[in-house]
Amino acid sequence: MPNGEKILVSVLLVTHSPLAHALTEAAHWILGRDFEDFHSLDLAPSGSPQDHLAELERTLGRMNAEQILILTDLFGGTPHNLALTQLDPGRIEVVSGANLPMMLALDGLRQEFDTVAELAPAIAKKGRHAVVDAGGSLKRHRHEFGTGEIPAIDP
Amino acid sequence: MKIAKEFTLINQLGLHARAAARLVSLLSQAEGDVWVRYGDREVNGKSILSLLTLSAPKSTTIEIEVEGESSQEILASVAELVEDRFGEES
Repeated sequence: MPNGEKILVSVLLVTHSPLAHALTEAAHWILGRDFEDFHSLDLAPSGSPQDHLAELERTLGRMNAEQILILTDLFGGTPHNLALTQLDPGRIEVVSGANLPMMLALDGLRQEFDTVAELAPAIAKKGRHAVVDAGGSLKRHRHEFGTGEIPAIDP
Repeated sequence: MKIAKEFTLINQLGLHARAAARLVSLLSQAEGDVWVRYGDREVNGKSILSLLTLSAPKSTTIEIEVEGESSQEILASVAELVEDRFGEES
């Protein structure tokens, strides 16, 4: 690695198949480029928990990174529960509820935060704030301003 | 140096996700802060999620303020990008 180049926290997206692949593809399409230091793992319905755990461990081993953020799709789901077995505070952190806004915010946040301990809560916050009740926002806007225009969304 | 310039969005989809991503990649080159304004809202121009909250459609005008040595060059590149309809329409 060239001198002075920033080391990004590595990211592993683990989900029920085919969400990891689909989320990654959608993010690549929007951003117009691939992610660096990023891996995705789709857990197939046909595999056993033992198979899935082995696959997860193999993937983490291949990543060979000092700090890893594991993003999972669903708190309490198998991908998340397996990811939790790898939790190692300060080295491997786990955040559930992966969504497209989190994927789009990923690189900016990795530039901003050098440690996975800081990155994990920051990306969780981004994901939460990007969930918007658009109809409710529109109603409030009409009530306040009395117009039928589509407002800027304030999540 | 801090410079602000207005741009009217002429592409069909306005400031949607892919257009916002291309805009962010240009604005992120600024050494200082970048602000994008639409109506009464002002957001960080280096954040795609913030830009998307503006929901700026076709034919609306946004103002971009760039701080830093290369602000002039960056705004010139933004002008080309907007004029090129974010590379989306032939």
